[in-house]
Amino acid sequence: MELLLIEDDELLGRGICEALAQDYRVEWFRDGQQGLAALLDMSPDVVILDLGLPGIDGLDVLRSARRKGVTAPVLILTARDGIEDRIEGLDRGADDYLLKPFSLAELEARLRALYRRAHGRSDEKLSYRGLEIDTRLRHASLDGEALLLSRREYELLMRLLDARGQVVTRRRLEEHLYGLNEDLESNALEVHIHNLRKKIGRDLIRTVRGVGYMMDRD
Amino acid sequence: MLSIRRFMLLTLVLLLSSSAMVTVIWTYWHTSHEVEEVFDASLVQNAKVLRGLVVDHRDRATLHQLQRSVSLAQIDGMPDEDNYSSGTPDDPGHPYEYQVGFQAGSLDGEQWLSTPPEFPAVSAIEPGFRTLGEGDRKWRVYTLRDPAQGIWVRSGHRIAVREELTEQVAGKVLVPILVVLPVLLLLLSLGIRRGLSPLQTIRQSLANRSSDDLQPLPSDRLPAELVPVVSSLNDLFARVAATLERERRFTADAAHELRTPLAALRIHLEKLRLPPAQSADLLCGIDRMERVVTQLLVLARIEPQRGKLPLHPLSLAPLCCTLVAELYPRGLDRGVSIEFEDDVDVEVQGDETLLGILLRNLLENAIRYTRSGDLISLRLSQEADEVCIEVIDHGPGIKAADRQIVLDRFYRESRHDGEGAGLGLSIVVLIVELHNGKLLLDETPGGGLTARVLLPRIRLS
Repeated sequence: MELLLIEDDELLGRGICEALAQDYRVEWFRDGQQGLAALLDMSPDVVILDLGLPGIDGLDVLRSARRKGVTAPVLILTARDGIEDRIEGLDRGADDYLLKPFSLAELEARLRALYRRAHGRSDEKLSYRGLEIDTRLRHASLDGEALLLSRREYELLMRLLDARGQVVTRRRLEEHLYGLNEDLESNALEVHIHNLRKKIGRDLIRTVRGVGYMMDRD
Repeated sequence: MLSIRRFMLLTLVLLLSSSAMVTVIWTYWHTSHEVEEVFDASLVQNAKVLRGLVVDHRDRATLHQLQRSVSLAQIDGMPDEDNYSSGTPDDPGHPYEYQVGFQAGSLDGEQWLSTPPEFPAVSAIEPGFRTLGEGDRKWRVYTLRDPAQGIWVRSGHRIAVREELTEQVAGKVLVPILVVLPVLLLLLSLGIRRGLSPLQTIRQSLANRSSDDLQPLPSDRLPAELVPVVSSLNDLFARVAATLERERRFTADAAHELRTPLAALRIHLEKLRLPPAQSADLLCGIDRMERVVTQLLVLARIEPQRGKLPLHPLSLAPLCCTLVAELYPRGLDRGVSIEFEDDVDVEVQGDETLLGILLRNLLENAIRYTRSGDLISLRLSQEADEVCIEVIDHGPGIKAADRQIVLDRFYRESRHDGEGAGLGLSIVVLIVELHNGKLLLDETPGGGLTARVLLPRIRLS
């Protein structure tokens, strides 16, 4: 996954670069103009954009990029937590929104989710507590034994794995599996989770009562 | 209270009625003066004619006959249209005959002629005008002396005749004034109301707008007098809006200045991937700083909104869901699990950001004070006119006596781990106040703290 980071703060920018460089390729620009130029030039997989930039504001970078046909998913970093700021960011074409300060796990989870949403898959090989998943072949195995997962079960597992360390709400999961408009049985999701647990083991997926499900961070 | 409408009406009523009064008084005075002149002149003429008659008749000694021809029958009371003695069909007479009189006599004291019977008899013969009699029976008389012939002659009118005439003329002037004045005042009142209607429109539009609405007032089609007022008001609105915007920007800038280095600190620490034993204290410190910064910014944001927060209908269950999802991993780090009892969804009038902060603070408090392995419950319920949000933990709770103190800003319970910023609950209280609700702290059955937020319920029509 190739990332473009546009962040003016030296300390934070270097931190993000070094933290993500262990798993991804990161290009870092410190001001909006250069960042915008690089964005048009290199077509990254995901863009991490700080809002408070010198010279040209982050939201303007975003708008210009969208106007020029850039479709790469954009994750906004901001220190402003007002609902109206968030809505404005999303209105201008951001795909997700992360409030400073954030944890590395959260940043990685959001990046993975954005990447998957844009490309339909994440990095090709993934391993998690005895699970091995080849996302290109959509093939999963547990402790070396191949798992037979239905399409929905596979999607569910990937959605939870992408967000590992975070709770995914039931509504999000249902949207992910069925889209927004489909009417579904109220316990359809529970049935899929139940079946998935039978195949991969009870402990990997945690139930957050009344809210949703999560898989622990490694 | 001072009212322009009332003031203008009162002034106009006073001015119009006093000018009407002045008109009537002047007319009365002027008329009576003119009437006096005319009547006096006629008295003089009458006297001169009578003198001629008397001189003629004295020589022929027919004074007695003259007296009979002019004398009138005695009547009771004041003569008027129905009360006078008419003469013959050939001479029907007139009631006003009784109001007009003559006297004549010789200068040596003999009185030859006198009519009508009420005409006051006076012996002194002073020439010129005089007023004789008392009250209703006052007469204006003119006496003429003729020493050459040795006679005097007197003609007179009842004064009441003159007064009646004057009063009638003045009355004729007064009647139209009395009729026209009320109509005029009514029309004036309507006109003033119409003229002041732009003020009323402005008052209405100011009264109807919500307190955070700083849009300028419409300034087209305003009367010239109101243009400066409205434009000053609009200037004021613009200045207030600019101040608010500056304040909001300052808060946002401060947030950025404080949160960015914190974010950097955290990511540098996490990227080292230290074993928990080594990183725990550092992370704990960063957590605490983050919380203080967040709470201070929240306070800075809420305080100016007191009393003018726009509230919108809001469904609480999705918000609770989001907050539990967000905080669950943090609880997990401490071995605490959170559940949301999503049996009912409830709607309140609220601000989403602030209610989110409220839920976050209550949940964070509960996480902080709950022992590993315990459960925190978030529960929604509704009663007849209240919606209740409960956060139930099984931690050490708060002694009944201390429950008020913990709501005060910066208070922190000493026996705990010193992680809190001490601002959490006071922010909750502020937000609850902004939503016209109540915060109650109770003991959870079996130990622990139950924080209960009561908000007014929206009535679905």
